[in-house]
Amino acid sequence: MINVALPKGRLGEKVLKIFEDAGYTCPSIHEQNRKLIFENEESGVRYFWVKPSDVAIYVERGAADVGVCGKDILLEYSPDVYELLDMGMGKCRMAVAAKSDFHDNTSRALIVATKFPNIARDYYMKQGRDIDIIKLNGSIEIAPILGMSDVIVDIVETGKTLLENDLCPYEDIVPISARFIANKASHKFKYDAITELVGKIADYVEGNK
Amino acid sequence: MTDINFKNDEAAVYAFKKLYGSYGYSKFRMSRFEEYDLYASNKNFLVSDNVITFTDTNGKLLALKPDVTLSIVKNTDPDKNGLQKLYYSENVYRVAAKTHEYKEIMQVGLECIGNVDSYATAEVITLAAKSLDMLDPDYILDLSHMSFASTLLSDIPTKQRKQIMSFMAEKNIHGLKSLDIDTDILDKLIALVSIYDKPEAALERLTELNINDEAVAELAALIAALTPAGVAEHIRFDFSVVSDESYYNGITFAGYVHSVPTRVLSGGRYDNLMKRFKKNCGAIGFAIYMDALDQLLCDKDFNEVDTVILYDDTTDIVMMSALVDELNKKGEKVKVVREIPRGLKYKNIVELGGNV
Repeated sequence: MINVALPKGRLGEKVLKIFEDAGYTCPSIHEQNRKLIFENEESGVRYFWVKPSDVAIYVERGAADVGVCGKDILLEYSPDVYELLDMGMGKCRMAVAAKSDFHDNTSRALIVATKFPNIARDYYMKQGRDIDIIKLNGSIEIAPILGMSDVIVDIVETGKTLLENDLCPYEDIVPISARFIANKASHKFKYDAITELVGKIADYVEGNK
Repeated sequence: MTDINFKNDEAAVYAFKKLYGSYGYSKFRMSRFEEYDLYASNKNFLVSDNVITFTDTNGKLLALKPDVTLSIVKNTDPDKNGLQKLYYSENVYRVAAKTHEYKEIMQVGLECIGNVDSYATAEVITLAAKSLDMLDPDYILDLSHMSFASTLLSDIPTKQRKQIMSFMAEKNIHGLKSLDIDTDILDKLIALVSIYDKPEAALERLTELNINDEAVAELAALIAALTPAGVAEHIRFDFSVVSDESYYNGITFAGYVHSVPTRVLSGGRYDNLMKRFKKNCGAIGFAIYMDALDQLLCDKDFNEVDTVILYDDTTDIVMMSALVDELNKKGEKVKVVREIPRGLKYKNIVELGGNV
């Protein structure tokens, strides 16, 4: 039995479809009820929905053997897991964005608002730029508009939200997509089952490119 | 759940010590403090670079030791031909990666310092395997050799090397593919990271890859030496086990047991660390992370007794003491209380109070 942590939301629905198309079906997950864990003995999987940013924690701690989560989460929390596959979906990028008239004043620390303090710190450290981080949990775009921060470091998909708020992408940090991750110990003790699963998902992803 | 041999971590530590002692390893005892300088100059060797420091009465900066191996290396004076076999069980002080809080962690391990030959290597790995076996007979020991990666990466600049090493540790093949490296090297790196096999099949694959014949021969000899003790069947070759090249060279290994989701043992050959201390000899060792075993080794019956004796102010204390003594002599676990604690499991109950 492989325990799979799925990220709640649109991405997770798509991921589930890929798993099911690859043969890891689970009828009970489509029923309307309040259950949290869905199991199909026949196909050897047990699915559960968790908050996207928690997927890596469930996998690292071994509560889930495998899971799918965004590269942003992996970069931010550096969990001790195997990253076995780039699912090639949920594509977006981590970027610095600012008001369209922004000009970097290098005579003082740059104020950065973000949900991803580690990624931001790492990025600016490499440039040798002194920064002041404001950790926010959502609606990051408001920070520069209200003058609370100079820039934001956030995920940019189409850039539409930014544009509508008179913000624009300033620099790209790193491309992001969904990754298939596995717990290191599970990967050893359930090697055959997990390798088969990764292989099938990889074939499916490859075939649908 | 598989059978767990130990009731708690103390029992496990005791059994480890006995095992290492039976192979002629002697206990290395050290002070809780160490001069901070030692860690400042070897920061990368430490799991975390946060060290608890304080100044002693002479104004010298001391640290609560975050690691045992460095102290052993510093304090032993190996001669080139001899071999020192040491084990330790010590508390170390580290910052937990996720919570950023200081933690006191029990660490057990052993080091073999001096003329480390193929027998000594096999012995250390056998002891690592036996330690895992005592924890849970369903265990896996991942074996790797640093020379394959270092041969492949010899012409690659340090910065890119680090990125490659971290992708290797993640088994991140799509990450490796995204890097700008020579295709021949890339293909071999991917083939190397994709190996996860029992020794025989893996050795065959390694010979085909033809990266470093010397290392293949070393591994083959090691496996042959491990076979009689029944260790070889628990070994998997896994070249995603990469360690810092400035300390480690040659064989490295990591141990996992079925019931624990993280690595519980890690070790390897660290001649390069010896060189940093200007000690010209070989060294190999491993450490067991007792904190990772917390859940496995917790007292499952810690809230269980055979007999509960209830008493109150009217109870005859002398008679009760005699009863406790009598039950104890029969080998029973007895708990004397005025009130039954919440959640306590017991087989018998004796009420000795007049008001009860």
